[in-house]
Amino acid sequence: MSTPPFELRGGTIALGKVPVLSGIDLTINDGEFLVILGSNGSGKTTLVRALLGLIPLAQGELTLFGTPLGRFREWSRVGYVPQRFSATAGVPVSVEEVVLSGRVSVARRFRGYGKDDREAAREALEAVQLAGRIHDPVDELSMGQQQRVLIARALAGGPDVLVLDEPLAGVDQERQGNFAMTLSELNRSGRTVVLVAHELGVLQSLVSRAVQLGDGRIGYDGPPLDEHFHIEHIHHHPGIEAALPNLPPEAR
Amino acid sequence: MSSVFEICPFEVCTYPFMQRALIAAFFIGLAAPAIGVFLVQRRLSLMGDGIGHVAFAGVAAGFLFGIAPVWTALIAAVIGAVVLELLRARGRTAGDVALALIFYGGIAGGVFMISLSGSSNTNLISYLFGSVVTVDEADVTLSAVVAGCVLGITYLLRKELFAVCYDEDVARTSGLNVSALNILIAVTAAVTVAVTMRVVGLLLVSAMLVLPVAAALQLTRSFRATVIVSLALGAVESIGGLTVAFYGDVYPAATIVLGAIAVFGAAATFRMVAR
Repeated sequence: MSTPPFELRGGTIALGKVPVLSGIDLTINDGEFLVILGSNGSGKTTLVRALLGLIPLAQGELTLFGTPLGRFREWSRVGYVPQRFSATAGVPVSVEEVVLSGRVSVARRFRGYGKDDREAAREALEAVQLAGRIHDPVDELSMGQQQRVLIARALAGGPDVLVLDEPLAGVDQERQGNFAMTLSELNRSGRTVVLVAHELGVLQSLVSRAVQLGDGRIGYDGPPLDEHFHIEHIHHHPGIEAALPNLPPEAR
Repeated sequence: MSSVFEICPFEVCTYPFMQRALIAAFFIGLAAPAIGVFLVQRRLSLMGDGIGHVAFAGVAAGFLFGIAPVWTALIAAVIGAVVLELLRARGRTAGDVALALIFYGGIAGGVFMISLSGSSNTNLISYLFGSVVTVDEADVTLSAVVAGCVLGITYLLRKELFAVCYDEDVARTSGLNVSALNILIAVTAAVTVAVTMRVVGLLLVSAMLVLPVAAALQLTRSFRATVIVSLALGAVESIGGLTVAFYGDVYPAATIVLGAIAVFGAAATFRMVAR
């Protein structure tokens, strides 16, 4: 269990032909609660997508749990929560169906989902406090609730590492605290948590390591600093800023 | 009094050509929404239409080279669907222009080959708008086999297909072979289109993939329920539309699709009233 979930050596990641990140060395260790920080366009999402094999590396080597990406098969150990709810409308889908789809890597082939799958889906929904909405269509839920459904989907397969891309975006202030606690509990129960965020905010006291991106490389890698609590950026989010007073982290 | 007998559902069944057409329509009515629901889910409702355009070129090639048009249409549709899927997967910017090229290229190439072959308009029209009279034993067998394959694939791989259509990135990080599954969806849709064209015709082939699903999702709260309701609607609409076409002596494509639109309208109205 002590092999690092992600190990990237000399990684250059390009979108099209433009390199977004270069010379990235990043080892994410088992059991860490790591936050990837950076301003808009700094390549946070690009980095996690590359770590998950969704964007091919222009250069460098990537191993997942000690296995080179090309030969990695144990995908049930990885839970991914993408940034946006990618599938809106289309065909109505129930909360249970979304969460069950997180079991596709562990469920039996050529069958429907079984009792154990449904059990796991229910447990995952309980972990995000949404068990009561199991039969509702997903698009009747609020943005924050939908985000939690996606986390439940990632949890349903019983992953060792959870990768979340800006999970706090669109979640109201009141819920952010609960949400941070949920993640913290998951981390304490032995899961590695990798999270992309604009700034630390409510996560300040929970994370063990912060990686800050800037100018196409890793600018800081270490314990979270006070300056990460609130990061200046060009785009303002008046809602979040008004709701999040600039308290020092120890006061929270 | 005579009109009462004409409406009697049994008369429609007494003609062998209608029996064949009804059986084929039933299979198509089940198969089309079974694959169509995945196209609707990923917002590719018009993909069937694109495949239909390409299949038209296939039909024309069949006329030109003296091969059964169903087979040339099938080949053209499968190739077209794979190309469409590869273009879709590749990127966003040039994608819709490339699609337009394929759509118009299919029609233009088809018209060109039709003119060269000098085949009759009636023959061509039966492929554009479907035909009941020309449905033969082989068509019935083919539609049964295709429907069986489509239903089998979409049933056995329902978890995987749902995951891919719902969230491609997460499907990939679940270890699914997303490209292969996408190609499978495209090819299944193509085969369905090629067979469906015998009854509803190439111009309206996409309608049977999409309309029963569109009506079903007005009433349902889950993917599973949408699949079940749209299969039932597909079968009922195909048989109903065909029966109406028989008595009204009109192209079944028109009655089947207008009927499906009417069902959609009723479902949408019901939804609005019920809320």
